[in-house]
Amino acid sequence: MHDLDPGTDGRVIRRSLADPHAFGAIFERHFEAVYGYARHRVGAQLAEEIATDVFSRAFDRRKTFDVTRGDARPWLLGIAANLLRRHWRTERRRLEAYARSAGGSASEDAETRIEVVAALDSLSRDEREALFLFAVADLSYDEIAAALAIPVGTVRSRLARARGRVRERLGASSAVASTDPKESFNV
Amino acid sequence: MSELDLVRELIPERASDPDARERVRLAVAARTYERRRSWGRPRLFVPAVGLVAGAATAVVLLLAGTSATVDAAAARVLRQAAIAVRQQPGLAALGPDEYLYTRSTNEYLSTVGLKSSSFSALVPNTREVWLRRDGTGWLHEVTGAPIFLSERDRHAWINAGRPSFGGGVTDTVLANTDGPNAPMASLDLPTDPDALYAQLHREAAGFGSRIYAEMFVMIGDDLRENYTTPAQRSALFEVAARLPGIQVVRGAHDAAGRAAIAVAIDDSGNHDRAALLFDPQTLALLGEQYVVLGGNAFGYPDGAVIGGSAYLEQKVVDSVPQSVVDAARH
Repeated sequence: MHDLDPGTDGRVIRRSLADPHAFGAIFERHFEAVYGYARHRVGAQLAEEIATDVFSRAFDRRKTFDVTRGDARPWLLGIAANLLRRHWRTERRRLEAYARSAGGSASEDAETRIEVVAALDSLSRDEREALFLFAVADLSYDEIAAALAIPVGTVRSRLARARGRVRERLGASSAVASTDPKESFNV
Repeated sequence: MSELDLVRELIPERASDPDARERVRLAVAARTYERRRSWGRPRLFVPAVGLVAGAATAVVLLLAGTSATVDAAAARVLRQAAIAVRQQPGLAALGPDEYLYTRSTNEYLSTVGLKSSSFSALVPNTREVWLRRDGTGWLHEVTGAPIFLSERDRHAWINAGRPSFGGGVTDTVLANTDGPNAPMASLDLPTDPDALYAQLHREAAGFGSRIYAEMFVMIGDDLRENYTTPAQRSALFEVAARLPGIQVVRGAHDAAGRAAIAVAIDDSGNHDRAALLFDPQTLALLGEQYVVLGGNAFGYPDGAVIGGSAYLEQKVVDSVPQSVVDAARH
C-alpha cells in the first residue's frame, strides 16, 4: 500500500486505473476527513461502514473522477453525504438523545439543541446535506458544489434556506447570530 | 453563537478509535484492490465476459459442504484435477520477447454510481490478452450490452439516461506496473503444495475468518492469465483441496455455457461464493464463477451469478498480431 504518494489526488487516481494499489494513497490521505465526518454524524460504529462504502465506491467509480481536480476530499465527502442520506432517521434519534442529555443544569441549552434538531428535520434532504457539509465538514461553497455536483448558486441558495429555517425555528433567540467567520471566504 | 455553531456542537467530539483506520483499511482493501489480485495487473477481472444469457440467472445448487471443515467430496475433485493437469503437456517456454496469449469470454458485474442513484449490470466481454514476462503487452476487448439482474437496476439505468457501461471494442497497451503484483509473479510460484500453502496463507493474512475464501480467490487469480506450469497448477489445486469451507456445487455452467462441476467457497463477509469450474469428464479447468448469497447488498436472489470467466485458449506466441494493432490505430 502506498502511504505517501507524490502528486495530486488527480494524478494518483489516474495512475490507479493501471495500478489499483495506488488508490491506497487516497485512502491514507482522506480517511480522517471521511471517517471523521461520518462519525460526527452517525457515530463510530456506523461510520466505519460508511467510510468503507465511501472508499469502495470511490475506487469503483474512480474512472469518473475529474483528474484535473487537485483534491479528492470534496468528491469523497459527496459520496459520504449521499450514503448518509439514508441514515437521517438514525442520525436524528442520536442527535435528540444528545440534546436531551446535554442539558444538565442548563435546561435552556437542552431546549435549544432539541429545537435545532427539529429544525434540521424540517429541512429537505438536499438542504440538510449542504448545511452539514458546510458546518461539519467545513467545505467551501465551491467544494460543496463539486461534492454534490450542483452549481455554486444552488449551494448558496440551499444554505441560505437551510440557515434561515434554523433561525426561524429558534425564533428571536438572542443566542443566535446571523454571521459566521467562514462565510467571508465563500461570498 | 450562530446557527452553524449550534449545528456543529450538537454532538461533542470524542476521541477517535485508533483501530478504526486499520479496520476500515482492511475492509476497503478486501473489497477493492486486494479483492482479486488481478486488479493489480490490468487484467481479467474488472471487465470481463461474453456470455450465454442463461448463465446470468443461473442458480447453482449447494449439495454438500460446511464452512468449518474440508469437505471430502470437494477435496477429491480438486485432487483428481491436480493429477489430471500433471498429465497435460503444458505451455511452451516463455522467452523474454514472447507473449503469453489468453483468450476468454467473461461476464462481470459493473456498478455505476451517480449522484442520485446507482445501478449494476452484468457486462459481457470477450478478451484477448498478450503478456510478456515483464508484464508489458496488449489487451483487446469486445464488450457487449449490459444484462440487468433486477428491474430496479434496469429502471434506475433508464431514468439516468441509459449511460454507457463502457462498451464496444477497446485496445489497451499494457504498461509494466512493476511491484509485487507484476503479471508474471506466477513464474515464481512454488510447486511444493506445502510451500505454496504457506505462501498464500501469508499473503492472505489480515482477512481474519475469511482467510480461506481469500486464499481460494488468490488461487483463481494465479490460474487465470498467468504463465503456470502443470506442476504449479497441480500444486494450486492441491492447496485448494486443503481449504476449510470448500464444497461441491453441481449444475453450474461457465461463461461460455459449458456444463461444469464447481468447487466453491463462501465468503460470508461479502455474501458471495467463488467457484472454480471443471469439465465433468476430464476435470480440466474450464473457468471460474462468482455468485451472490442471501443477504447480499444488491438484493439479488441467493445464487444469482455476478461474474465468471470461461478460459478458451492459452498459448505462447511471438507477437501481437499486426491485424489487431492496425485495427486499433484506425
